[in-house]
Amino acid sequence: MGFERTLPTLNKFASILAVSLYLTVVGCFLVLTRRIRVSPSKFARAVAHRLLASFRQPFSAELTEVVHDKGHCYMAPLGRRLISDLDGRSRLRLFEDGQELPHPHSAHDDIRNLGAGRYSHWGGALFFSSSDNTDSSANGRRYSVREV
Amino acid sequence: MPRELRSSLLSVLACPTCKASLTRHGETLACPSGSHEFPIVRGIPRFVESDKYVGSFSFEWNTHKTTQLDTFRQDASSEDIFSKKTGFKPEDLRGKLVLDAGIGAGRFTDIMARWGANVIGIDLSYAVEAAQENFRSRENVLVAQADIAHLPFKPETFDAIVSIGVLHHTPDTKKYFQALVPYVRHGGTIAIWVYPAEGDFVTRKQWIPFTSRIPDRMFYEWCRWFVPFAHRRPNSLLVRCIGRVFPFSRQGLGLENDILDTFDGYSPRFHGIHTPEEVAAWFDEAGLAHVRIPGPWNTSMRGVRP
Repeated sequence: MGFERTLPTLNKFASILAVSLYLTVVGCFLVLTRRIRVSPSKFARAVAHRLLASFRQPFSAELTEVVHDKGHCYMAPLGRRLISDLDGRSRLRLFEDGQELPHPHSAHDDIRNLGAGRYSHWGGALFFSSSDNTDSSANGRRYSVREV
Repeated sequence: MPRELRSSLLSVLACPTCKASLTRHGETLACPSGSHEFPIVRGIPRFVESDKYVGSFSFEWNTHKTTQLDTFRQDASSEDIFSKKTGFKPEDLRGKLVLDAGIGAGRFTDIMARWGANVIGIDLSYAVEAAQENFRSRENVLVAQADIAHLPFKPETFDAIVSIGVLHHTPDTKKYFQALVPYVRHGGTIAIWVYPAEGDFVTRKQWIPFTSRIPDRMFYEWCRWFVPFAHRRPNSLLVRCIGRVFPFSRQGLGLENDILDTFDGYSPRFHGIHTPEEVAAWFDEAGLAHVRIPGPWNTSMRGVRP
């Protein structure tokens, strides 16, 4: 009974290539079906989202369910998980009755204390203030977001 | 050929079916009634006709006969692992009769034999050929090819039973653990280590249905290429990404060990994973006492048969 290391009948290079291809296909299957869960780094996630964004329609939505946060700041859920200022740099822009508000990527304390159209896309929500620091949930204006 | 002590170890063997003591007739062991006969081939009693579902281990241990044996490595890496996984010290086993259930090439039998135990090592696979070669000159070691589910011994034969990294490669880890317990004498100890249900072991389990189907020699050649490739590029983004999805061995015990361990992790047909609570429950159900985890591996456990 022999247990030789070399493959007598199959070219070693072709064998390694075949196994590599097989394992690559299996690995993709296991990851895509979430049988293996991989938590990629922040950078890798941002890169993946950027690439995927090239192949889909830009996101746009009207803000509903606006609730008061603190000071001049109000919060509305987006219903969609995109790269935000929490994990990269958001590509969302906020519009008040069709007019773009001036200060994206603002610090939340600035939104609360200064307001005046400052806003931040953070995780799955938008934190924002109206252009004149009125109550965004009751001033009768239409707030919408669009991905640029 | 068998020396005096090894003859006494041979006398421990019994028919797996009727449990009668076996008598030797040339190169055959037989029941007194003659109804069951078992050949001795190349000095190894054979109680099975093939390696069934453990063909990968037949290949693996005959390719890496000495990679993990301290005697050949000239270090104490395996002895350190053995002590921590079983809680045994040399004085616990000196002069005692011990069963190594799943001997492989003899990594842990090597230690127990050097400590002065009388060791019978059994394995379902043809790894017994490698073990026999490694222990040919050791009078206190007997190697036999047998199935844990049908052990060729009488009940209450052993002072201690050790099974490290074996039972999770059987079709039913719990059932095969339970099959060992009756062979420990009252007051004797059984110590096992099984794969935990955490970390890389969980990831590897997802691969097993696919990797276990690759022909052993093909997969082994791939491991012989990939592991050194990865070792030469430890900071490569590609290697790090691969390692997240396909954890490979980096134990720090040398390249040959890591090639062996990577192949060992993905080639077997069965790959059970278990929680410490699950393992403790097996020990409780078996009526074992003084059950404890002897070291840092939380699915290594030992207990005493009251």
